[in-house]
Amino acid sequence: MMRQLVQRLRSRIGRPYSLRGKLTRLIVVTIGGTLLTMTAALLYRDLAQYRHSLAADLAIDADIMALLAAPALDFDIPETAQRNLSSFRRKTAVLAAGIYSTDGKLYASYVREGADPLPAMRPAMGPGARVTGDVMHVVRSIIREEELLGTVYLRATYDYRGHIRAYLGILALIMLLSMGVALALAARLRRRITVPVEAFAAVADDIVSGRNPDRRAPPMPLQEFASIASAFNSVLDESEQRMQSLREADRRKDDFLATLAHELRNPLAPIRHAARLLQMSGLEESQAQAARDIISRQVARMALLLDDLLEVSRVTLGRVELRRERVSIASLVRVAVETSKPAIEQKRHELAVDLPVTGMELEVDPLRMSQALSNLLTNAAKYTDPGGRIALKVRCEEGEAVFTVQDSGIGISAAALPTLFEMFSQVESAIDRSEGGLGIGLALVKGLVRLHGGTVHAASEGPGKGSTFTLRIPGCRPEASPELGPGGQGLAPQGERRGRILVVDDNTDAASSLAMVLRSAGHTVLTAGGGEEGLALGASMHPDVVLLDIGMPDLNGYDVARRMRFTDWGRNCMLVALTGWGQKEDVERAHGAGFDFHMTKPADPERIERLVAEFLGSRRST
Amino acid sequence: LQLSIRMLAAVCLFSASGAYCADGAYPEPSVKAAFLLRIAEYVQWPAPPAGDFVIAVLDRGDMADRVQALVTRPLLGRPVRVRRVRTIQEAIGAQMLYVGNDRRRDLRTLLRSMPARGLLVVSDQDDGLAAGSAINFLLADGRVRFEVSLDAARRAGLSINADLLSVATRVAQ
Repeated sequence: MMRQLVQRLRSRIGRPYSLRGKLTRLIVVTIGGTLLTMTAALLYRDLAQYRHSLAADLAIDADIMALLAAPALDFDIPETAQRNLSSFRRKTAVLAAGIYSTDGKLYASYVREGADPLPAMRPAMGPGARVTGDVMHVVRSIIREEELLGTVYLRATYDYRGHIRAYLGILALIMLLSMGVALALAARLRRRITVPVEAFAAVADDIVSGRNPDRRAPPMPLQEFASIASAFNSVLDESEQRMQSLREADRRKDDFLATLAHELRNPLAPIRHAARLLQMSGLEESQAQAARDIISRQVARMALLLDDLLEVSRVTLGRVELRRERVSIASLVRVAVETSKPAIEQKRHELAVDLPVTGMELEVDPLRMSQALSNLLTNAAKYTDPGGRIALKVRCEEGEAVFTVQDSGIGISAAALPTLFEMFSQVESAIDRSEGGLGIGLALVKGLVRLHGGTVHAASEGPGKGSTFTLRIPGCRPEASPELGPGGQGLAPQGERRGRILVVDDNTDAASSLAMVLRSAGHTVLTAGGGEEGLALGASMHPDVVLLDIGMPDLNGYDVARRMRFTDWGRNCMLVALTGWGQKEDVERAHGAGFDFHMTKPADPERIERLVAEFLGSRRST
Repeated sequence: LQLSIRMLAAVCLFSASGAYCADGAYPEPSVKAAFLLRIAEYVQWPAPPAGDFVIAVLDRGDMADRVQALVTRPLLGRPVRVRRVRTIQEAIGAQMLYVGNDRRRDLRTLLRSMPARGLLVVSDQDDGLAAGSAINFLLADGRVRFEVSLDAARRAGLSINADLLSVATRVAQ
C-alpha cells in the first residue's frame, strides 16, 4: 500500500509539467504567498498596535487609579485604596493591581480570582509598560502637589496568542474564499487556454505519429495562439509542398536513371555487332566500312550523351564561365542549324528559317548560344513525327533577340509545362520514342539562357498540336564590323584548316585512332606515347596544335604543358587538355598550366577538328 | 528638624499598617496636626487671603505648636501662620479654625455668633458636624478619621474636593 503510494508519487514527479497543473500551481503559490505575506505584515502591525493601545489603555487606568489613590495615601486609608482598586473587577484584562507606598511595600491590592498574587515589594521597574510573555506590566507614580505618594502597579493579560489565532482564522477564511474564486477563474481560463492548446497538441501528435498527417491546427481563440497555429499550419503546408516536390524530383531522378541506363545501353548493341563483324575473316571492304561507320556513329552518340550530362550539371550549377564575344545573330543561327541538320534531315522534316535581322549582333558565348539554339531545333526534330514542319524565326524586339522555334510535333500537355525545363523531365509518352534522350536538353537550354541573362519559354496548345519555344536574349544591337571576328567555329574557311598536330597520350590506341581521324581531315599528325617523347617530338615538329593527355605515367599533362610554354615552338601553339574529369577545378587547373582548351574524354574528333580549324583560321586572319 | 518630623509623619501615614501609628509611636495629636495641613490642600476658598494663610487654634493643648512644626510649604500661595486663640473673635480673618475637644460646651453657640464666610472650621468633638463645623475628627479602630459636612462648607462658601470626600468616614449633606 505504502510502496504503491511512493511509486505513484515518484511517477508524478518524473512527469513533465502540464500547462493545467502549472497554471493551478501558479495561482495557488501566488495567492497563497501574497496572502501569507500580507497577513504577516498585518499581524505584525496589529500586534504592535495592540500592544501600544493596551499599554495606553492601562496607562490611563493607572493614571486614574493614581489620582484616586492619592487622598487615600494622603490620609492613610488603605480601605479606600482597596475599594478603588476593586473597580478593576469589571476590566477583565487586568489580572492584578496594587498600590505600593513610597517605601516600596504593598499598600493595597486587587487580585483577580485565579491570578497570581502581587509581590510584597514594588516590582523593580520604572514608570511605563513592559511585556513578559503574555503579561503586560504597567507602573505609574502617584504624585500630588509634586510630592511622590506611592506607585500604582497593574498586571494585565497581553493576549497576543489569541490575536494571532484570530488572525490565522481570518486568514484561513480569506485564503479559502480567494482560492476558491481563483481556482474557479483558473478553470475558466483553462478552458480558454489549455483546452485549445491540448487540442493543438493532439493535432501535432497525430501528425508526428503519422496517424493523420493531413490534419491542421484548429482555430484558436486567443490571438497569440492563433498566430502560432497559423504559423504551424503554414509550416506544415510548406513542408508538405517540399515533400511533394522532393518526391517529384526523386521520381524524375529514378526515371532519369532508367532512361540513362537505357540510352547508354542502346548504342552498345550495334557496336557489339559491328565489332563481331570486324573480327570475322573474309569480310568484304564495304561490310567492314559499314561496321566501322556503325561503331563511329554509336560512339559519337554515347560521347554526346555523356558530354550533355556533364555539361548540364555544370550549367545548371552555374559552374560554366561564358566566353562572351560579339557574334552576329546570323552566324549563331547558321551554326545551330548546321549542328541540328542531321537530326532534321533524318526524319525528313521541313525546316523554315526566317531571319530578317541581318547586321545585328549579340555579345554572347557563341558556342553556348548556338548549343542552346541547336538543342531546341534537335528537340523539335525529335518530338515531331517524320515529315513534320519546323520553323525558326528570329526577331529583334526592344533590344532583345527573340528566337522562336515552332514545330508540328506531339505537343506538350498543360500538366507537363511547369516542369518542362527542370532536370530529368521528359515528356512521358516520348520515352518510348526511338529518339530516346535523357530529358536534360531543355534543362541545359534553360541553364545556358539564364547564364546569358535571358529567358526561355514553352507553349503548346496541347498534345498533338505542336509546341513553340521562345528564347529571349538581351543585348541585341547592330553589328559593329560585320566581316570581323570568328563568328563561330563552323565558319572557318575550308581551305585554310590544315595544320600540324601533335597527339600525346600513353594510351596508344586512343592516340592513334584520334590521329587517324585528324589525318583524314588533311592535317599532319604525329603521336607520342609520353610527356618526354611529346616534348622531343614537338621540338622537331613545331606543331600548331598539341592534344595532351593529362594522366600519363612519366610526366603529367600539366607539367608537359608548362614546359612547352617555355619553348619557342610551344609559346604560341594551341594546347588542348584531354582528361576524364570535367569539373570546374580541373578546367581551372588546366588553364593555370597554360592550356587553351579543356576537353573531356572521349574527345569528339569533330569537335577537335572544329577547334583546330577555328584556331588555324584565327591565326591566319591575324 | 521640621523636615525630619514631616518625614516621620509621612512614614507613618504611608506605612501599610495604620496600627503602627495608632499604637502610639506617633501620638494622635500629631496625626491630627498633619491632617489639618493636608485637608487645606483639598479645599477651595472663595477668595485668597489678603496676607498670610492663618490657622487659628482654639485649644488648651499644644496643637498650635504641633501644626506649626509640620508646616513645610505655603498654602494658597501664602506663608502659613498658626495662631493660638482664646476666644472665637480672635479667629476672625483666619482661613481655618481648629476647635479642640475641650471646648465642647461652647462650640454650637460660638459658631452661631460668628460670621462663617471664608472660614473652614475643623472640630475635634463627638458631634462636631451637628454643632456646625465642616470637618470633624474622630477615631475609628484607634485610627484618626474625619467626617465632612457639605452643608457647613457650602454656608462658609467653601468647596471641598471630591478626593477628600472619598476618604472621609462620613459625608453629611
